[in-house]
Amino acid sequence: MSAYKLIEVRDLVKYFPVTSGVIRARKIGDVQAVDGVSFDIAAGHTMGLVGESGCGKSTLGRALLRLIEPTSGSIRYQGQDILRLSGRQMRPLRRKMQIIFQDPFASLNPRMTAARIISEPLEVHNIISVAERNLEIERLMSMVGLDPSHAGRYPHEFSSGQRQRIGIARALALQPSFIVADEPISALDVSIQAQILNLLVDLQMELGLAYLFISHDLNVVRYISHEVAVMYLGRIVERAPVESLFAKPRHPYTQALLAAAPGFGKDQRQGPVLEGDLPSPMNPPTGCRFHPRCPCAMGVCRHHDPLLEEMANGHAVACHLWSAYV
Amino acid sequence: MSLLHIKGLRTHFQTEAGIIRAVDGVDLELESGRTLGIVGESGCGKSVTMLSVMRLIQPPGEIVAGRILFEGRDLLALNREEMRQVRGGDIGMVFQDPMTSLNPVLSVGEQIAEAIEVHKRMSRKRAWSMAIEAMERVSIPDAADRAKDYPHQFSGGMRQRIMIAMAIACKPRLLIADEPTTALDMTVQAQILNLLRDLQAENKMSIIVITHDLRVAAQLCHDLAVFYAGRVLERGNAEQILSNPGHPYTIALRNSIPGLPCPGERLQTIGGNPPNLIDEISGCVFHPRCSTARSSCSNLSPVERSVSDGRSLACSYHALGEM
Repeated sequence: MSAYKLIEVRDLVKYFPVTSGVIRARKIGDVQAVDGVSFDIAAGHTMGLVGESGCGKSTLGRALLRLIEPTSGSIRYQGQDILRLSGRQMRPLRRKMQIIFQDPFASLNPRMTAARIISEPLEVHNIISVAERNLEIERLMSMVGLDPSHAGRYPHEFSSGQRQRIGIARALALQPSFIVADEPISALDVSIQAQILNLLVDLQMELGLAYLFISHDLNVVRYISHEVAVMYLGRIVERAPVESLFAKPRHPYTQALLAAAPGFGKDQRQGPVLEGDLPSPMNPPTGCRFHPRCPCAMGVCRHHDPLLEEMANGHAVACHLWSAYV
Repeated sequence: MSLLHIKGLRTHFQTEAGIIRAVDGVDLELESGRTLGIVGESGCGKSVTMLSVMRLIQPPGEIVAGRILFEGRDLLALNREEMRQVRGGDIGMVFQDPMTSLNPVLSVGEQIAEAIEVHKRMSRKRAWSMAIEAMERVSIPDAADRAKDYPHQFSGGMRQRIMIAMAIACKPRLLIADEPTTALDMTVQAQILNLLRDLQAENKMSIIVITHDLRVAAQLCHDLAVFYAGRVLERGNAEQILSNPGHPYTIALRNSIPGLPCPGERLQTIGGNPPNLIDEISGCVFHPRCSTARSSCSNLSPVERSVSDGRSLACSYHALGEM
């Protein structure tokens, strides 16, 4: 990858304590939502993050912005470890790192007009005069394909796709260089999804944005990402440039996900269908976390946790089947 | 004779803002032993059509016109008691969200057995053993023990299996599944789709699947009906429609799915938003968003025409070969 590394994540861990008892709550364990995750995102590039619900992908996205305080590890933004910064020191950096949420109904305040929603970040960071504000709102609204004359309307007066555009305009207001997009199109209708995807791609080209694009839909991730990380129970099990991952998925879990993703044409790509469900992240299996569901599990998988190791051309996989090739 | 034949169905909702024409002249036909996919975006009337078949439309909704023939009997002419026998007996239904459609304070076995008792008039004990049998048919391990468990003790995929077990417990001839995999994860979705396919092969049951995902429909269905704004715009053989869509809406819908036709290429979009069903659209319902619309589309309402073997679509220009 030629572009410089904007975000560098190393051994990021987020455990949520689980307590029991009402009067004297005591800790009975941890939900290991994110457990030792490392990756880089280059400026202007998109990292796609896929996995099933409960695999920790949203927690990871929020931890990157310190919306959730990580338990340990490091997150570097332009070389600076943001986990060592105080709240005050963090503020100027927050302008550079924004988030788009999944649900355009729940993530906008119903009592605020579109203009106020979009300009609130500008007010909070106090970076624009009142005189310039309306011009800026107009500029942002046109940029995301909204009619600036609708600035005085409330969220309920917009369709779901338009609401998602408001969310995007709000994220862009502070001119960030990195955006976490957490399932930004999952709640939208099929014909609207394509509009929002195109918008995100256009904005990336125009503004040189880097995205962490979180989704459970492999086709969407394939479309928008430069690199893809596959998560399972708090770990990245495979990470590769997008063409490499889809042409030659190495990890049995990735292979199963690809086989499960419905394509067109009947019975096409009938790979192994995974049995069972995701185990509890409070008590993950020993050894490789995927071994109870893995069609190719061996003896070693039960006891030894495979490391994420790079094979070739930036294709990394955490699986004992491949450790001989590394 | 087809198993289910819907003719000119109209289901409207009276609201303060006006009449919402949720279903506005739908014709559908399903042969026995086949799977029909009903695809469309939210608010296109696909669920309301199936709720009309089950006669589960609540006020202010009302079926204002049409006939629904199931094995030749008009369901709309049945009295309440007769309809109760059809509902859950001859026609089973699976809903989208397995969390909210199960009763949290009854064990799953009791819930399945309850349905059997009502329809087959048998003892509690026999019904219980039939419930376990139904759970085995949907591949729930240790069915006899798990029947005593409550819904929260099951995962999402297992709960959906229980919903399916409940729907097929009385051996219906038609199973209606409303977005059966939408709330599920990708790997679990594949399990449920395989299960539905197996159940159909074993029992010669007909299935109607409501889905917004063309890819799910492609995997499961013999026939497709594409819904938009309360109408059917195109219907016929699923493979034919997906490989060679005829209606401009079907073409646009298929092209707006990423990964297809070609990754890296810009996605084709459908401009605008799905219509508000209160305002009556003159002419073709799709014309405001159609990229190939002519001036006459705004006042000429297209009539459904057959274009090839068992395939028909409602587009004035396609039928004339002018597309």
